[in-house]
Amino acid sequence: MENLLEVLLFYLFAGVACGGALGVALGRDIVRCLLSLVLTLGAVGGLFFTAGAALVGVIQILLYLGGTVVVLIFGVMLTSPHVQPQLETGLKEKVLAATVCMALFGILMGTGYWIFAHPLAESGSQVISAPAGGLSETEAVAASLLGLRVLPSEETRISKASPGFHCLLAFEVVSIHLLVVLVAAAYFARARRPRLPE
Amino acid sequence: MSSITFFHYFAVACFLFVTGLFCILSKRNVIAVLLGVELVLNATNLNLVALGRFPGWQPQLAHEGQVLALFVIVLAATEAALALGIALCFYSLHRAPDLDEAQDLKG
Repeated sequence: MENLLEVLLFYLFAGVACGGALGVALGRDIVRCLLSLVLTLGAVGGLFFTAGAALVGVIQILLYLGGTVVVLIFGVMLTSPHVQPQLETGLKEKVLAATVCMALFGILMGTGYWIFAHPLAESGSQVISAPAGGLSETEAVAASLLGLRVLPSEETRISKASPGFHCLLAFEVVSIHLLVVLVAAAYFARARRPRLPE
Repeated sequence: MSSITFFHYFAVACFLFVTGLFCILSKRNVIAVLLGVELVLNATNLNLVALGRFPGWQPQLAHEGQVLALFVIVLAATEAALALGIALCFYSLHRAPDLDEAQDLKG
């Protein structure tokens, strides 16, 4: 029963995500594209939950749906939607882009099927359902952030076994980067007089 | 009904990636191109998180996949803010968010 619920939730979220993505790609009105993106981002957050990554799902909803989308809405509002109908690409470009994208999709799916879903490769697809070492999923993610490896066995709960993945410094760098980028964005977006035509 | 495998997540991520790429290639509006970039980043995130759920392929990615996904989310937020700042600057110069007019640096 639990398995059936998981499968149903996965297909629900996957369908909403794919439909919203199609709406973003094929929509003509930028506001509708944006609303489709909101749908897609929410559904991807749901997919994170079904994949057992509750922390990433919550942060996806907080940061993407609460932050990035609001920034994008302001972008749409400030760049005057009344010029939208003229901003259409030609049919030639669209056909070319669709051909490239469908070819890439075929290549990716073929490669992915060969690697991940081929009957010869089934042995590697076991699921980790319970969090390792008696820790909760979020604690395990936090330990990974500190460069600690969580082992499945009970007696060695956490061992420092991943020397190549110590990302606390990277986390600090990303924080400073976020601050610098926001200051730079405020500088770029400041009001200025439009350039007069010659 | 068969259970969900990594390939299911991979298929959804591939679809999101390809639609995002189509959005980037086929739109002339700056904001619409940004929406496509967000789709591509979400496809990447979905793959990273799903690899943590099915770690048979990459055992070292069990929880590090989620950590990398957090980094991608933060960098996507910075990218959106900076790109929108540039788009507003561009709009104030050209009075239209049209990428085809961005030819000032063309050699």
